Amino acid sequence: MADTPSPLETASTRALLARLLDEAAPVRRLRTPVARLGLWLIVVATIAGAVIGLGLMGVRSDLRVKLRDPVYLLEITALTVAGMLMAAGAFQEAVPGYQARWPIRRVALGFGLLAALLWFLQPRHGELAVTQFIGTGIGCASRTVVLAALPLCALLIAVRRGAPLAPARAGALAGGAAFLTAALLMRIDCPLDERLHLLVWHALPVAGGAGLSAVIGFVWLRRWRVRATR
Amino acid sequence: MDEETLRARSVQRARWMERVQRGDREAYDELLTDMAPPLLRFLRRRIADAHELEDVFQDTLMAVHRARHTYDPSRPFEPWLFAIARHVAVDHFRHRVALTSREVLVEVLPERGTDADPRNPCLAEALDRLPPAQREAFEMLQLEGMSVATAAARAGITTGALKVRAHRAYKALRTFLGG
Repeated sequence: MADTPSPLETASTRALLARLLDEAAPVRRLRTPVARLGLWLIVVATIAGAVIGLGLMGVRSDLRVKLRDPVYLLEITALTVAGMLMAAGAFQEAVPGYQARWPIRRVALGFGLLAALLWFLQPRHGELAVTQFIGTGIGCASRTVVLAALPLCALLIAVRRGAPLAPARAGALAGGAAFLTAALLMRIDCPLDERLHLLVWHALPVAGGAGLSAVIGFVWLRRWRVRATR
Repeated sequence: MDEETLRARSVQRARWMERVQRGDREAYDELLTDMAPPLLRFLRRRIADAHELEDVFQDTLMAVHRARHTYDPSRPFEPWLFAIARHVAVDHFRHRVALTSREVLVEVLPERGTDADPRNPCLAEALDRLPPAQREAFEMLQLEGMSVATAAARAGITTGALKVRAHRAYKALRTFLGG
């Protein structure tokens, strides 16, 4: 070790430091996670407004009655909070060393599980035929995927602008946020309050979407270290 | 060093970093000079091998450079810096475990290739993606045509270590260039 020069003194380190100084161009600072969350919510609200406004999606006919049901309200609230917190978590993942004051990921997961639990407590309608179950279910699942696509792309692109040190986790959080938001919109649209329908065609796409997004994140979000210097 | 001095130094680093984000070369120079020793101490606690330490140290500097737009000057600088350093070190260990399970050290390095022209845009881009130490090894051997011994002496490392770096560079380039 005695004859090994310190990494601070080697020619290659000195050359690297000189290169970094040469590349000291101004950079556009990343907005804070809170500000970016606000922007993302505006994007999501715009997409939801456009989808409903253009008649691509409706609202359930009994929505007024359902809004007086505390369980339904709790379910909607849990989906909203879980989606927002997961998006906040994804934005925080983009900033190295960012430490929130409270365990945001766990709380988000808790609200997500609360929504799933409330779906599990819904009544079971045994009389639904298998073809009907699959037919209506595929419609719900596919619309969930379509609704989640744009918010997910926006979120992944926004996270990639940062430097996510745990890309798979960042991807999972982004997927969770986008699919929970889509699940929320679907709950306002879909009139079926049936346990199996909700668990299979509403909850599973959220879990699958988050998992797929984790894979996308692992492959795509980790490239910030090798991309061209800004 | 007392707590007050540490806090003052942290505030100073945050100010330098803020100026670095605006493209201030002088502030960048001061920041790099100031943060290098603690960064090296941090990495030395995790990496015993001097050559690996140099690789990881340089990779960390590159990562800090590429992530500099993510730093928020209203927050302390050190958690941001050491989170990146920890990530680079862990990443390095993962790669090393994966590589050592597959790589074979060659006795004779391949002859200089005719397509190793730095003006080739594909090669130039792939070279940019290499860690600095590997890039240097490749350039000295393949582009400047140095012998292994001369290149090792210039880099201040053993010939064995240089061969390892060059070998990793070839493998990485092969992957980047889809060969």
